[in-house]
Amino acid sequence: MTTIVVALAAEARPIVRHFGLRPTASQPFRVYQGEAVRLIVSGVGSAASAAAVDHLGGGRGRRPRAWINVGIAGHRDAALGGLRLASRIVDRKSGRAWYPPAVFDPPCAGAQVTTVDDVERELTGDFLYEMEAAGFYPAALRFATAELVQVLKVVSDNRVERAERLTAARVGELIAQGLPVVEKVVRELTAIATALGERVGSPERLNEYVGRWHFTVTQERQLERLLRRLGALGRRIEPTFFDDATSAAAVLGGLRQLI
Amino acid sequence: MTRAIRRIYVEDEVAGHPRTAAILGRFPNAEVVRCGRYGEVFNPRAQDFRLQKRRPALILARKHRGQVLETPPGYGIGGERNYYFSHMLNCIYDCRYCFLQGMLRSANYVLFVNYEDFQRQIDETVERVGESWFFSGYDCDSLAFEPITGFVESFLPFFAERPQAWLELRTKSVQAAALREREPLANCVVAFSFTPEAMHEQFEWGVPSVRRRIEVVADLQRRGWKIGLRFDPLLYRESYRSDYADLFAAVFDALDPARLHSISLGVFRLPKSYFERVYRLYPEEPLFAGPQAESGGMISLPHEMESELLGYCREQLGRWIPEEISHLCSVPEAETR
Repeated sequence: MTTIVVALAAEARPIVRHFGLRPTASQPFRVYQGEAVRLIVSGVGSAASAAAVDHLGGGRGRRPRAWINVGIAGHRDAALGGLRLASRIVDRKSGRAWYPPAVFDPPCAGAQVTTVDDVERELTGDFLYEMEAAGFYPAALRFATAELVQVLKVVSDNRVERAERLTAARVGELIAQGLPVVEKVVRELTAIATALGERVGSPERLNEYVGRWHFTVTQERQLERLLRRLGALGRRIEPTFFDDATSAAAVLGGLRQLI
Repeated sequence: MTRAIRRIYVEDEVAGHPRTAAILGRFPNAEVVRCGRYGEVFNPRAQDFRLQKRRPALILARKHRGQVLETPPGYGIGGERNYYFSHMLNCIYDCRYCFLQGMLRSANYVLFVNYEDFQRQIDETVERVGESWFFSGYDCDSLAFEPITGFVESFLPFFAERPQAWLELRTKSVQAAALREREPLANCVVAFSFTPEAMHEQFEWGVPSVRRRIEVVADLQRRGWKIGLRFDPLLYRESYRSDYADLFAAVFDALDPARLHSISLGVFRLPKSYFERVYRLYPEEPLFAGPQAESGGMISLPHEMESELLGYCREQLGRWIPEEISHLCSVPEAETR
């Protein structure tokens, strides 16, 4: 599952359409859900973006999930509609910086993203200015490894085409133009999350063992590890192998003997 | 290799360093990202070493202190005073048994470009304590990144003028051009690590073949370089006897055992905390699933298997080399950090 966090409804609309997402909640955030992608509309600003991540982050299960913040940003002189994957995020207020690692072929150029509290009018330096990334990124890192958290921005304004002239329709247009890149990043992150999921998933037959004997939490962890180790050694041990065992401890002892 | 690096982080402090400029010049298509201190990129908790191995970035940084550190007591290849230094963290190879996976949070390559500070500390050390050994190649491979780092090119002339300072280069690489192009140094040992072919294929991703490495070692020995052999880690599998017998036969068929400087052996072992991290990264890996024992905070083979493996390898090596040049490495590699 990949979660896309956007600030504005205008940013959400083309993405929702493209991925065929359906609305599942409207309060406290609008949430849209598909099979492999979901989207949340956070509202504008770092705090709102972090809150939206928190809202969806605490779900159950240990399947790794990817997070992408998609949104518009201003740049000194970059062409409108260009997409940039954040390689550095700087919170202008605190000075803190984060460096999202890219372990896939980025489908667009990278950029430093500077998060500001208000619409930036100066647009100095070779930076993208926007208002969410520095809230989104550290919040998402609480729920995923850094390789699964990315920030993707579309250049919406520059010193010639000022932010003041942006309309909701224009924002939607710009995001729609960038959808092939958004989709590529989603695909890459989904593949990485899947690979990671295979690593952290439960070993075969765990539930059969747990259903048959009473394991304490600690014993269940030991069981999981023993089954995983035996699996790595190419051995699949059926619970029936321990038909005579009367306790979880006896099963664990038996599995240890097999390594 | 150079094509694989798509992003280079540059610490603000070394942005103007000539070595930084030279390295960046070799990667014209890489994205350059400035950072304050390398630790901001390298040390955050929520990172996955295994995922990052897919596409490591390069970080150019300055090593501020501790450029030269003492090795633990008992460690060495015959010298009395032993130090190690790491101009780089991480390795371009991906060896499944490598302790770096458990020690470091990130698989990105950190290159400390301030070689001059390393060299100054080496000078200060020799001035303070006299003749000493300086081991390179623990947190990285000494030669593998040579075309980019120019490490050997910079340090060999330095050591050439300091006969009291002994250098060990440790490598699995065949990047030996920098050695071939110059006269051998009397105070430098080039130490090559080997595992048997089958284990190489199973555990050493990206490492040149055993045969190719043997050719390179033999060539360097013919040219007069002092050669060390490192059979560390020794790995256990059912066929280990024939695996190691074949490896030793191939190595000593190509090399002159009488002219070897040193050989060291060490069984596979990891501090428990590193082992746990590596296990979480590779839970499907048989190497971490088989029999194991914990002793003194270290995870290794159960004692009997360890003794059997070590005993067999020492006995086999005894057919070719005198005991005096063979050193058992019982100190966990990671304790030399």
